[in-house]
Amino acid sequence: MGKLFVASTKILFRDRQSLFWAMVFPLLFTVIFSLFARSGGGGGTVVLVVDEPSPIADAITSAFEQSDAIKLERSSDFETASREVQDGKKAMAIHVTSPDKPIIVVFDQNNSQVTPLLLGALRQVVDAANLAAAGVQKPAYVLEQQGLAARDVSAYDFYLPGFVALGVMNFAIVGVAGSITQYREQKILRRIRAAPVKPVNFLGAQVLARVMLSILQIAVIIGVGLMMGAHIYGSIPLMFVIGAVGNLIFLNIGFVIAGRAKTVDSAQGAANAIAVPMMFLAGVFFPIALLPPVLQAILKFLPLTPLVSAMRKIALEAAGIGQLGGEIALLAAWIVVSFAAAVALFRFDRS
Amino acid sequence: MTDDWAVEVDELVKEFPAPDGGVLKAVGGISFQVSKGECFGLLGPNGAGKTTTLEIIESLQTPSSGTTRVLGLDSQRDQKDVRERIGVQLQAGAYFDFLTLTEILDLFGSFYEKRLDPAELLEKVSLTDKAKARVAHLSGGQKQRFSIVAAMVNDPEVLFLDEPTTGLDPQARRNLWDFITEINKVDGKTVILTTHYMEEAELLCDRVAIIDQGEIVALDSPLALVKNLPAAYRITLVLTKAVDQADLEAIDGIVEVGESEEVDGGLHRYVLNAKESEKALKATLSWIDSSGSKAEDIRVGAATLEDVFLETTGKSLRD
Ligand SMILES: Nc1ncnc2c1ncn2[C@@H]1O[C@H](COP(=O)(O)OP(=O)(O)OP(=O)(O)O)[C@@H](O)[C@H]1O
Ligand SMILES: [Mg+2]
Repeated sequence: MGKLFVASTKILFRDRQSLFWAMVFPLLFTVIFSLFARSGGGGGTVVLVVDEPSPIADAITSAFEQSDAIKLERSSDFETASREVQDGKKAMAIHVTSPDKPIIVVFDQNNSQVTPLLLGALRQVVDAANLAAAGVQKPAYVLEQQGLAARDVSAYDFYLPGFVALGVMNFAIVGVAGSITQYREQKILRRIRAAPVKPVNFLGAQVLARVMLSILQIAVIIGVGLMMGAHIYGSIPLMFVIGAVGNLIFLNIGFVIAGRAKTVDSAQGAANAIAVPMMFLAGVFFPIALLPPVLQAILKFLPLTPLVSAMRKIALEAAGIGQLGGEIALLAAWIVVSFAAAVALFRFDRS
Repeated sequence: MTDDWAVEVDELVKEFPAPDGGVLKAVGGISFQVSKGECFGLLGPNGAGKTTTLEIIESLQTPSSGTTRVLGLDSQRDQKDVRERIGVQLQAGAYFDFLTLTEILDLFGSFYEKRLDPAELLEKVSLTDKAKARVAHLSGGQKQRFSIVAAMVNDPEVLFLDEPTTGLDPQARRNLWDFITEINKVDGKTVILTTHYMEEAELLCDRVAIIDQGEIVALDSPLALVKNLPAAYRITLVLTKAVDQADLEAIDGIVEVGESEEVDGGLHRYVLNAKESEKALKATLSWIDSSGSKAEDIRVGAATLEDVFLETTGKSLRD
């Protein structure tokens, strides 16, 4: 068993193609989406155009310069700045002309994350200036804002846990289905059967080696994600545990395919036919909460859905095991079902 | 009594469901015994049932009926013990692509209680310098040698080789023959092999079973099989003048006259089949003298297993 494990691990590491699926493919998503998420919506850059110095211009400047989330740029060309807002390169452009004229603000109506914050901040500055101009020393009503500690979750933070789940699934299903079928085609499984060794030892070694590699895979994806600026608010070790558990489901599914497929091509086809739709339907790229409720009720039961959801709750909401009851129940059910299916449908070697 | 045999096959039948809904009898009730230290060959065309027979003996397939025993152990009941003591080379079987030769031998050795050192095994087949290579980087002959040695990691008492030389060039095939002979005659291992090649069976095997459509049609030593043919020898004559076929058939000791043809330069070739070589040859020579024709060339050859196959099944061994 020890030698089988070592050999299986060596094969996994030397097999460039399977390493590609394990590492490069999900990493590609991780890196590309970090670039996307960064350039999207112009971030929090505000362009301020001041024609004539005035107290209100100074007030806006100092208010916006204080904020970490907002990057203030100065310009003398409001037309260009407006166009940049329209192109999504800047979040907002403010034109302070002369004290007797209105302050003009252009913003991206569709950016629901940043725009309200910027407008709110601007309105506050203008209101305060109006009160001061009206001679009000002490306002009659004060709105005291209590910072609700909402986490600053970026789109990229949202994607990363999904990619971890995606990588785990792809590597397990496609890898197992393809390689086991190939071993059968090459008669390696029959040669093993000709020796006095239990096939289950070979399969156990395969599973161990693959779980180990998938832990490494999770580490690489999370590592690169953090490097690219993602935030993980919850327990990273818990993400590893959930990832390894989820991995077992997809290994079982891979074994079911390997048990039925006659050729490597048909095995890989079947594996992709399962993995690719799931990648889009299980909430990796967008929350399934956006879909019609009927569809949600079904998609909830895909094996990837609870894995994505659990990863995301840990990463974004710092959920612990206690808050993952629903996901863990679904994952456990899937482990039982997929293992039973593998036992029933997997054939080590046809004769 | 069973201890004397390396392998016993008794009334073995294997049926597969046929595509048309009926049954396909791959092995049709065959029996034979192989003694210890023997090199035994299963010779037959494609689909004859050679692989099926071997795999049932090796405990890799279950028989429809009948029994097979290896070293006195039942292939089905004593699976683990049988597997411990045999070596199996599968027809066109491969090994892991991403392991070195040493790693593969080491891994497969770990499956057995008794195991040989990988370096020693590679030395045996002159693959020492390839110890760190992968199977994909070996030539056809090297691959085949490796697959035999990979079947010997447990120092087996009985070695099964399924078409060990198929697809090899003549040189590589001869190398492999030397190696198989050494395993059998020097190391004293019982070898059971399948082949399509008569010359291979004649050269390597102490006894040969000729199989066709799941039945054994002949079983003996290659020499005896050929000797027992109605026409064990073949005399090929090249004459300067054409002669009458009926005159040739009348020669004492000639069983039949095979094909005749005109060859270059007005010469005529005749093939005569004979039961015994000496008597027939003498009679033929004196007939030529009296016929007024002259012999440009005379060759005497023994019939081959090909002829045995032709005689017993009415068809040729290779399509
Ligand atoms: N698993 C199987 N299912 C159905 N038919 C089979 C199966 N295995 C073998 N057969 C059939 O049984 C017959 C004997 O096959 P087998 O492989 O034993 O022949 P063979 O003598 O080894 O031929 P070859 O020289 O081509 O290797 C063939 O007709 C083959 O198609
Ligand atoms: Mg065969």
